[in-house]
Amino acid sequence: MTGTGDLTRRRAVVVMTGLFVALLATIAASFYFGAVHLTPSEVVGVLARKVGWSLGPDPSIRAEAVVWQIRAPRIVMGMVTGVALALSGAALQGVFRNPMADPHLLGIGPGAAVGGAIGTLLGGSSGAIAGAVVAGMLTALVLRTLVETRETERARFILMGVALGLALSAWVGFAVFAGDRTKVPPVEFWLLGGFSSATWEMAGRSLPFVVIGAAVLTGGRRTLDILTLGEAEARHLGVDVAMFTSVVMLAVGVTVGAVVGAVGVIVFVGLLVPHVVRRLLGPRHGPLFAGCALLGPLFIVGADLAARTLFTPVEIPVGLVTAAIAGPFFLWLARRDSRVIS
Amino acid sequence: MMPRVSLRAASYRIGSATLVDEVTIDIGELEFVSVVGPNGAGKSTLLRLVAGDLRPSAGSVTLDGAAPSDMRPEVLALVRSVLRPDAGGGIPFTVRTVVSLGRHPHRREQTNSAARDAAVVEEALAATEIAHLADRVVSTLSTGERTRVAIARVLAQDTPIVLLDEPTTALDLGHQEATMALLHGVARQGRTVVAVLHDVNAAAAYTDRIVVMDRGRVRASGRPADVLDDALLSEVYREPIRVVPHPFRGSPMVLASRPLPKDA
Repeated sequence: MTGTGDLTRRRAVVVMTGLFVALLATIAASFYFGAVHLTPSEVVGVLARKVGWSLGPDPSIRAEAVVWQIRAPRIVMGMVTGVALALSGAALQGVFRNPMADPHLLGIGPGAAVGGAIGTLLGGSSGAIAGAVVAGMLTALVLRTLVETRETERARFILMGVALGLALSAWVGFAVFAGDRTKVPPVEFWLLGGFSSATWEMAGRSLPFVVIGAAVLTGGRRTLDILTLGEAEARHLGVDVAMFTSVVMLAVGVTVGAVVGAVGVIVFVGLLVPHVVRRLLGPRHGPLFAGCALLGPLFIVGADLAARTLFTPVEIPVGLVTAAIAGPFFLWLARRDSRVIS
Repeated sequence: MMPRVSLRAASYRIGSATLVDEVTIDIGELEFVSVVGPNGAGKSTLLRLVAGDLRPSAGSVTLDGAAPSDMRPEVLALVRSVLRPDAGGGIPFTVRTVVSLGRHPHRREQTNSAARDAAVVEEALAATEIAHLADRVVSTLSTGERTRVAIARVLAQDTPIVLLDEPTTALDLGHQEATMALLHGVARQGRTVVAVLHDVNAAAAYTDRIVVMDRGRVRASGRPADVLDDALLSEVYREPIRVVPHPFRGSPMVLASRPLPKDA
């Protein structure tokens, strides 16, 4: 066997099936566990009724409210966020051929959060997503103009992204403190993330942007494979590298903005998930995106489940959970497999 | 007939340095042309001008009449393929995947098909003698093997103009000869092949025309037997060099003739 090479179809099917089953299990657990205790039959009863089956006695109004108005939108928003961040991380790592590329580490997430905070002041929760999408795109454009010479200066590019991110994180604070603090969520929401305010309405506003962004990113999977050969090689094979980079970054800006405006910045997902999927499914971007679309939601929904159940009844910011799990795991991965960083 | 590749007083300057200085060359189809010269002579820069990677500071470079640096990348990729020196270091894909990516420019062509892609890829793997490595990951291969993978990818791109920067430098003697013979055959199929080479003997044996560069300028251009002589090469390489006929090939053979240290 040849390690991280293209893997057989059979192995891909096994891994994808495994990820899918694990995602379903995590979703089921997220419906069941929580501050309000429900029986499994109550959960199943509510969900069955929503798809048109009547199973058993009518569920209580309380069960219906908890399952359908609190837990379901929270899970859906978690899945949307997981897909958005994992695909964005995979695409940025591909386009910059840099394993440390991540939408939040490069400042696109914090930039979107500034827009989200300002957007909330101007237009409430719908303004938050619109503001974050616009600011996400603007930050992506700023980063794009900064990294023109990336072929020879990859390390500098990451440093610039990190500096941009730190500066913009401070601006999130300015936007929050300068605004009306009764209306704008606090700084720790924007910088550590959280799903406690997730609603169907929010998921409905965020989803279209994520669908568009994800379609653009996954549509670039073959071009990303070619870029893996090197920037000059990609040009020689007919790729307009400058244009493609701009398109990917704008798509990441839209995708990340749409979820940051809703749930804040959740770190490490875009960094870690693609690395794990690469180990499972190999380096080609088709399988990589497919795996990320399952493991991203699995990781976020699982982390949110931990965030709201670890210290019941207190809920901790989900970004603390993702960083606490993913940080050490990433270190272990990077140490074990020198290819992650080299 | 219009030449495939045409340079007219093409220059490339960066800052105060002139890397390519008023080079004029025409190259037609079926031609296998080598570019030789000392380090820093401007050979790679010349190749990059032809490839469209660089835009000439003055003069013109055209491929079938069009300036490559003005062509759309996807169109240019159907006209010329390029082998870069030291290609393929950290590529995590298998050999077959990399060679298949060479077919990317043809994906929207009416006449192309998955079957044709597969056939061209297999042919390229066989021609470069790497079929047995097809399922290996490129980053696990030796430098010479990686070079052959890159050559196979270039062949799979199937373009009328093939540009190669040091295709044989990392290869063992056997694979050097095989690669030179392969590129000669590629030219005879109706293509234009231009290769930057350090091995003047290989250039003299296999290429139709040899272009000798020094300090950005073309010092000589023509059939190896007409161009290569002691005075020119000794001057260009700043090293005593003699040219003798190859004992049985007949092509010119270049010999370093610096006196050896006493204890060598």
